[in-house]
Amino acid sequence: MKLQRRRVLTLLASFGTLLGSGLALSSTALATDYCGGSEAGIWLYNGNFNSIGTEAQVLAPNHSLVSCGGFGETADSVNTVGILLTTDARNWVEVGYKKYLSCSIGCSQNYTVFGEYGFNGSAGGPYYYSNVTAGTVPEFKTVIVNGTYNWSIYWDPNGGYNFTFLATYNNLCCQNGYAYGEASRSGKSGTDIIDHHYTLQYKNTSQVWGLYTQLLCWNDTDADYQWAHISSSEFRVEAGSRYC
Amino acid sequence: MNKLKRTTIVAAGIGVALTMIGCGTARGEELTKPEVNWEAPLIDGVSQPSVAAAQSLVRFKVVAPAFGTPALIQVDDPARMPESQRTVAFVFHTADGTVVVEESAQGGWTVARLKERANTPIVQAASSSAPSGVAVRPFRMVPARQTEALLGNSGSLGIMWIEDGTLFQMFGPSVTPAQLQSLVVKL
Repeated sequence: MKLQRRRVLTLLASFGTLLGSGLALSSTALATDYCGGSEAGIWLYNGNFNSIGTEAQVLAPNHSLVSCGGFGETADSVNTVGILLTTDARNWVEVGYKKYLSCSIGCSQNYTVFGEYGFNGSAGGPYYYSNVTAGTVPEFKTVIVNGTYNWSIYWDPNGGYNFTFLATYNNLCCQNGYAYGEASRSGKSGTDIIDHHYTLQYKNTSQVWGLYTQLLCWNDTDADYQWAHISSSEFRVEAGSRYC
Repeated sequence: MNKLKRTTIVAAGIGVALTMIGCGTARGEELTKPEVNWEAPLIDGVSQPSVAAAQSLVRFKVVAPAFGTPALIQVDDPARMPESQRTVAFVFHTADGTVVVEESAQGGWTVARLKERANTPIVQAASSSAPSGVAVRPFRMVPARQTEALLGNSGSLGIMWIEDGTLFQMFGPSVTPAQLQSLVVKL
């Protein structure tokens, strides 16, 4: 019995660690609904516009989702990396994962790798790829195809730098931009965007990969969550009311 | 099971179904980026007091749009953005609504690339009725100012053209494509 209890406690401790300190949530923290087409999120970028690629390990928590009601995707939590190709935020390319509720008569949960891009504000995607396992730490990468305006996306299911090619998005606007990381959500109160981005890296126009040297807040629209600076190349999203 | 109980169960089931039909809106098909800040569109923009001040930070010839006094002039932060890639953004509050005019060096843009974009479909969100997504062409080419411009099917997608080595873009949250085409003539 004692050994069983110790195993249970160890498992719970690991689970708690995996889900991050943001799990220590009070019932008043998750107070805001983001429904009816609205969403909330936190976007951080590296401040170096010469980024031609980016990658990071991104924790895949077992996100809590609460449906807004209706049909289709009725709640989701998204964690990604990408390149912001223009500073007006109308052009981008990104890859990451989305956990979402898909509802018709009933609702099913899906946890999926996805990619998307934007051209002058028109979004291509989201395009869905492989399934994601909660509790893992997948790695995602997007990088330009040199000499073109095409951007490719990749992932590794458990952060081992053994990337699997997913897709190439062609004829985007630009060949470089700001590298960024994102956590966002839509859904009723109780939908979380707990997040942990590790080892955020970018590739510069000299073809050299390196860690982010700074984290700048591009935008923060979430009333219930805030980001925590761990290092210049690592951040977490946890319960809190601070913006940017 | 008696008739009353069966009726009650059926009614409850219908009630649940009607609840689920509700007014909820799916988000998954929508953009996952923050909306454009129409009043300060460049995320790293630094406000400039005049067109001359903006001109001092870029190499291309800045055109002052003839839409009245801008509410704001921004240039990408010179501390972060190489001179050759900086954009100048003007924000105007016009009779057609807020209009953003962006100017930057032409760079790799050509009319051929604009046409390629107009001819390339964008596959948008998959759904239960369209599992592979829906291919749309949100852009088309239109004549503009002795050249051709890439025009979006809504004002937020904007209009984009090249003139004398400068890339021009014009867009807004509520302006229509037709209004953008009129504004382009007046630039």
